[in-house]
Amino acid sequence: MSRKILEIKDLHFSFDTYAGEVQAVRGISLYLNKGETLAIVGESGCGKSVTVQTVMKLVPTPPGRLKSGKIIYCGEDITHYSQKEMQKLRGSEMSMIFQDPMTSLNPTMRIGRQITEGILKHENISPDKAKQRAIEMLAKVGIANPEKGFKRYPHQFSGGMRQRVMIAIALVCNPNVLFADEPTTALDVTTQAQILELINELKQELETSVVIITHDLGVVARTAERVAVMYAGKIVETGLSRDIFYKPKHPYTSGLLESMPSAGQVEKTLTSIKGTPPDLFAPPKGCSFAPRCKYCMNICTQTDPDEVQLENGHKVSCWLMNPQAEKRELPGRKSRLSTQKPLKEGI
Amino acid sequence: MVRYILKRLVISIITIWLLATVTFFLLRTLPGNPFQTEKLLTVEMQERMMSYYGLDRPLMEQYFTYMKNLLQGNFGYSLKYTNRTVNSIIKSTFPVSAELGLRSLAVALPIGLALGVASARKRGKIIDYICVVIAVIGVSIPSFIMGTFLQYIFAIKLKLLPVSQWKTAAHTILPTVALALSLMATLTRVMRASMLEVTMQDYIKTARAKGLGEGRITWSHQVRNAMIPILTMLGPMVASVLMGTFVIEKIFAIPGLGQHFVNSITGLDYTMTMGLTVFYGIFLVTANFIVDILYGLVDPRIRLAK
Repeated sequence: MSRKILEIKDLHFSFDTYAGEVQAVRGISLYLNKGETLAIVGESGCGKSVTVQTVMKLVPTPPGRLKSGKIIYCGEDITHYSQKEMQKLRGSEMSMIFQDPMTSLNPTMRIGRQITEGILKHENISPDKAKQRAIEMLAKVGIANPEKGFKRYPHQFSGGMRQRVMIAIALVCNPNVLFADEPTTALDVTTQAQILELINELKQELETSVVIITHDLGVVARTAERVAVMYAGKIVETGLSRDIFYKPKHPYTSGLLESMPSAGQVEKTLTSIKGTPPDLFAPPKGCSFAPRCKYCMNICTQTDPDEVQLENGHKVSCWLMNPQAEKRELPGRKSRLSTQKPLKEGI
Repeated sequence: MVRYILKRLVISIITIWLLATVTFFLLRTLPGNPFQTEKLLTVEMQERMMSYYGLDRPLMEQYFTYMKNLLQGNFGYSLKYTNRTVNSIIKSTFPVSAELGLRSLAVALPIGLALGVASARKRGKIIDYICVVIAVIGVSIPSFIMGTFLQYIFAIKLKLLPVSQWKTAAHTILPTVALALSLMATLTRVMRASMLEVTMQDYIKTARAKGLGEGRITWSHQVRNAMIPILTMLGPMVASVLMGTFVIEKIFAIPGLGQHFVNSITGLDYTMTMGLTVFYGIFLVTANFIVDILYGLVDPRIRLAK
């Protein structure tokens, strides 16, 4: 099992607020293989960002609190690393890019310095060498005229360009793992495609493993080999992208796929999942998706289902998988949607 | 840049002209005349004084005469200090007030900002509470209490420093501290709030994700961004402090400009009030202009086009 570069085991993470404890992450287990892209999919507030920010220890504690679980990076248990120890890992071993490139860069600092300060922190090289590296990196992420770009301020770049700069900052020290927290959500559609393509390219070139967080299944299809579907702080289904897309076993995954509009769609109304996610102050007894589930049975509101193993590492937590339950065929992706980077012809 | 400065200059001149005009006519609506308060003068003598200073002429004529003199930088004769021009009074007292103000700012700025940064970094910890308490004390204790308190402790009880007057360097310490405390408190409060605001920004998270240490993040990412609100308040603050403070100058018997602001109005010294107002106005406009230039240095987004 040495291919696993990162493993999270039964992670529980809560926020202590004045109103009580918010159980943002309620027992998540997942792993990331070397060189692969894993997508974490789910609605807003389901705990996707908290999960990855917990791995990097970027969530302020308090109010955040790691209740239990293990985080293993390259065979080493980093669960209880101090901030000092984490500082050595951040940037050099694992990096992160954020959702909004408009606010993620320091407005009063030149782009160049924002890249070099990371290099200078982790590597023992001269400022001139660092500058060279930064300019090379800017060229690599597709900034035209990188020498000039080096001296610019963030406000002189467009959103897409800033996200490219963010990628340059994240990858300049050649980390093993890149967390991309909704990297394209704040960008327009054409830019989205370019940024995803860039992440894919650099991932190949630098042999980085990527965890991409998104609520957009289109992004998953373009990038990820494996998918973890999160709902209310838990992973409800995980498996290879094609299994998730064409043979979803959890009603929530199926609902997400159904609500994706397709190019040839003729119905006037878009499909959606009725209801809202549960309150994480008081998560419901039983399956947290039960109140919104079309196939809800008595047992679903009583007890949380166990995880069921299927082929190719496909795992699902749903009572429908129980041998006693009525067999149902859940609708998956109808139209053919290649999971193999259909980027260029798509746009 | 040159165009910008010219534009600002024109706007400043219009501002000063409006200020002078409004003050001129407002002053004349006050009841009484400058010589009434001096009980020894008979009505007849008062009238002679009025005509001596040209105050019996039509108001518009007086206004134009004043404006003509003002254009030449001449504030006229004081109506109270016999044979002294307003210019000479400002020339002799302003340096004293400015020195006191500069000394206080030199103390208050670094300490105030440092306390603000420290308290924001250690939010909710002991250091934060200490800083907040200092800031609240500095803001809420009026300077006449603070001044007399300092005099009592350091001059009368401990006999370390002179009680009042403005002669040697030792004389400057107490008034400087008294004035600096309230400035420092304000700066601490604003800097703390501003730092906390910046801490919530996404780019601080980016800096952490790069693996930078907390000290590094504070110095290279937070402080500069947190300085922007400080700059905004610094213009008026510097202007008002350098112009002298009535209370502190009074308590410590400092021959500064501050007393004239109050005395000239109560004594209806028209020319003196006018002169001080215009002088203050020019100073304030200049201070704000410098702040606007500094903005550009701190924040590239508002850097002026070349």
